[in-house]
Amino acid sequence: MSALLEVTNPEVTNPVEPFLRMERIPHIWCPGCGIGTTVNCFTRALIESKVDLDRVAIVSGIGCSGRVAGYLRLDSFHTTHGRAIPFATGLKLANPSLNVVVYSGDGDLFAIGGNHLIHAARRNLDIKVICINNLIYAMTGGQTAPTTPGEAITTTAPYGCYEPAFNLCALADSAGASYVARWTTYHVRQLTKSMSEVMRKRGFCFIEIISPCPTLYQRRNKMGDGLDTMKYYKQKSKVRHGAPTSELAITKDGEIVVGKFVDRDRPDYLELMRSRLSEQLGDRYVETENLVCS
Amino acid sequence: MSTIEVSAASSQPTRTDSHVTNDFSIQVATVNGSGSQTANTVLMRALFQMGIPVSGKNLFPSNIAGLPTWFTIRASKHGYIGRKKEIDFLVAMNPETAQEDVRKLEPGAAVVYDEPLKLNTVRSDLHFYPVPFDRLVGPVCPEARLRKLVRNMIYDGVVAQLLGIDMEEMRTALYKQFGPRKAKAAELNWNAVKAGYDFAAANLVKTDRYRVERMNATAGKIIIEGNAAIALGCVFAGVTVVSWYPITPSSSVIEALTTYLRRFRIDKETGKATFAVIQAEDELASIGMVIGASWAGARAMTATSGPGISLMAEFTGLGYYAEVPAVIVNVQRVGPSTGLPTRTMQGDILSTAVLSHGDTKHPILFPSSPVECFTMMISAFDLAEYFQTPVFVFSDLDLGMNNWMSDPFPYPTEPINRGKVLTAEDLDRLGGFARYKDVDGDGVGYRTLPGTRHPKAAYFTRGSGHNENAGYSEREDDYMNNMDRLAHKFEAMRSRVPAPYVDIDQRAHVGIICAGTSRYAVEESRDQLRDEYGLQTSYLRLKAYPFTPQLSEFIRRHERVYVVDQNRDGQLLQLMRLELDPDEIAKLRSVRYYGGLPLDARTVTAEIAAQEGF
Ligand SMILES: Cc1ncc(C[n+]2csc(CCOP(=O)(O)OP(=O)(O)O)c2C)c(N)n1
Ligand code: SF4
Repeated sequence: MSALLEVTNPEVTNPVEPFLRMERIPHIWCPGCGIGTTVNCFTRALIESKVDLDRVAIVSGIGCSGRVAGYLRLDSFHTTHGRAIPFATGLKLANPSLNVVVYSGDGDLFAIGGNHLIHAARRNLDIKVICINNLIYAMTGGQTAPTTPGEAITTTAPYGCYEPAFNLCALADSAGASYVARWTTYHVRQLTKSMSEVMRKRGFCFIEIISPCPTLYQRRNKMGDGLDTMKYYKQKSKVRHGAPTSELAITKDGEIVVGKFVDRDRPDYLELMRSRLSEQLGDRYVETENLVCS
Repeated sequence: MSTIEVSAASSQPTRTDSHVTNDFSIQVATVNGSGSQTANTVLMRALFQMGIPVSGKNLFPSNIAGLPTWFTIRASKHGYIGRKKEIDFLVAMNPETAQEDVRKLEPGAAVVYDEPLKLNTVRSDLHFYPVPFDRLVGPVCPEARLRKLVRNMIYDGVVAQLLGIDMEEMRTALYKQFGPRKAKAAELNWNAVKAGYDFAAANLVKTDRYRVERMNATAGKIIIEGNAAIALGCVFAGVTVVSWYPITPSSSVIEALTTYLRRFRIDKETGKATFAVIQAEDELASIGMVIGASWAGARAMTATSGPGISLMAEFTGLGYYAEVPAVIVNVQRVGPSTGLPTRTMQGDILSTAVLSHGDTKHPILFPSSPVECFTMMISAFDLAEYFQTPVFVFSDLDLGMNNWMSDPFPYPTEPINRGKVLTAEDLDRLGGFARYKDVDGDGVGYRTLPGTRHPKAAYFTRGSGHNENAGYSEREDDYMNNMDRLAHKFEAMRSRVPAPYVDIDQRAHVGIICAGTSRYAVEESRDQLRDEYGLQTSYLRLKAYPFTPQLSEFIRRHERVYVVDQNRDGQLLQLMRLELDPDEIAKLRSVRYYGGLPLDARTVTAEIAAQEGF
């Protein structure tokens, strides 16, 4: 369990407490779950990056990971399963001054929502996508996800998964993302730094976090509890900044390459629209600050 | 501390002599993921084995582990197996909810609780039984890691002692639950049950009214979840292709189905599977795969819940219009959107009856019990193939995920009906066919399956305008003729869908109509209305949409007819309004419940009594 969320004693003030909806704690996550750790990193990244918190909006889909939006004391929205990105797209276009963060699970973002993700990356829409990859659908009881590595046991693959899995970083990269990184929940410092970077970066940013689901994935695959998984991550992961994303496939017990793989500057969707339309329309193209009726 | 001291402090009512036998509900309040399910199932099974009608309902949160859950077991000598609103016997294991759980009880209820919770200080009109669970679990379970799970078995023993449940039946139920392969675990758990029993026998003085006695009302019955019954129905219906996307409360349909298919549908000679199950990337893909497989000639199905049904809307329209069979199970939960994903509702009736755009109408079957889950899956596949259209089967979370006492399933007597499919030989004889021509007068055309070796077999079908020969057409008359034929086909279904269950009381001026799991509350409520208000009622339980002529007949016979709905807007009633005559509609009254719990008789009785002016 994340140290952060254990703190309920009012005497002890945790630096990230102001970012949480403390009235909703205790949270729903199991002991040893990695999701809370990522929230801890994220709140620290909010502090470090010194972004205007009134301008940060969090959007989640559905799943254990999708519950993150509900615990953050920010403007936050829990959408339907798989549709966090279309919602976030509308949000960003209506009010470009918002720093829009999509925080959700691998199933939500890459199975039912996969199409939306690659299109947002293609447009280089200025949103930050934080994907908690626990290699399964947890909320529904541990079924195979498009990220489940070969041979891993799930409720729907009792003899081991035989479908090839997506390489999320490669997918985001090839669809056009401006920033692509991967960490595990063991790498709290590096993860915090990446999160902090993307909060200040323009364009479609993608961070994959390999995260344990001890209750459903690790237990079925005899990989121990939350602590064992931290040891496993420490032992198996290898930092390779700038590694070609095609080399990042995750296997059941193989190496986990982590690091920042892509950090490039491409005009984002709004810049592209602005430059094309002003080029074509000249003075007739006028842009309002935002489209929100006030 | 023992209870004797507690009663000496007169913090609980004195011993009551009027016994209540085999008529109460036990609620176990625990934490999700704490492994109490085994303990609860054992308790329920032991009562069942004693011949007492039982039902079990699990109220759980949308989370994997750590939030409060309540499991309710109802024992009813009258055979009522719907939810009982009042809790008579509480087992309070969850510190987080214990106080509130106790506050909600009616006076005279019994409470077994974890001693440190000191619940006896909360009220003085209940019967309290403190149990030092932590102290008892140590000696029976040396391994600290397992104590959290084994602790639950202790309350089983305490409850068995207090209610007088036969320990031999507890033992049988427990060993059955663990199975022969987990004999060691079974022994460990059995010792915990015994420890609880012995503690209660030595330290607790029974003061509450509730007890059990052997009866003979469960002989020949089985206990099963609706979702497993649906899965078995699919196996007997000859399903070959299954495509799905996980969603509570329907996932266990496919999980059970996969297990059954692996067991029963591997070809003995070749060792090859005679089925395919694929987990799709979302519900849109799963219905697409079902329609593709059905077009190829497979018996294909999917199972989902409300959000999935919404995503299947466009494809369902294609199935309707291109006339491709599909079987879609909807285990309904509370909406709209993600609503209350682990609570029950019948709220998708109206939207599904006309799911998709344009003029569409789809048959829906409403199973109310495991037996009907089983038989109606077979009907659903036959109807889908005969009428070449998507057919929906509407269960709900209550039926699907809870344990039900059930009659054994009837072995199918009719052969599978694959509908109007032409073979190469047929085509030789006929010299060709027109895919969308109404040859037999029931609106259903003949189809061939792709791959049929005959020069006249292949046809091109589509979701856009077409004529009788499946040719592309934007002509006004082609479109209208086609739509009229589809409407006619829908009419023809009325004589083929399962007819309603009807129970006419000759003296009754009042009728009650419901569908699916509402029946348990309604059937019990009819007895309450009769016994408490002297109100005789007739009863009609719908098994299908489109409605059959019995519905109008029933309404015409009565002065007032209550339609019971498990949704806010009275969707079943609204659907009737679309079809009935104005004088029939004028007789309809609405009874609605939409709080997410299984419907209970008291709610129905109170509402009807109020509207009747009692
Ligand atoms: C349309 C729809 N289909 C299915 C579901 C059921 N569902 C809820 S969460 C979930 C999967 C979540 O997996 P993931 O995004 O990996 O998150 P995790 O729970 O693993 O954190 C599914 C299938 C739903 N809510 N809506
Ligand atoms: S089920 Fe898995 S992902 Fe969900 S809260 Fe528990 S550990 Fe975390």
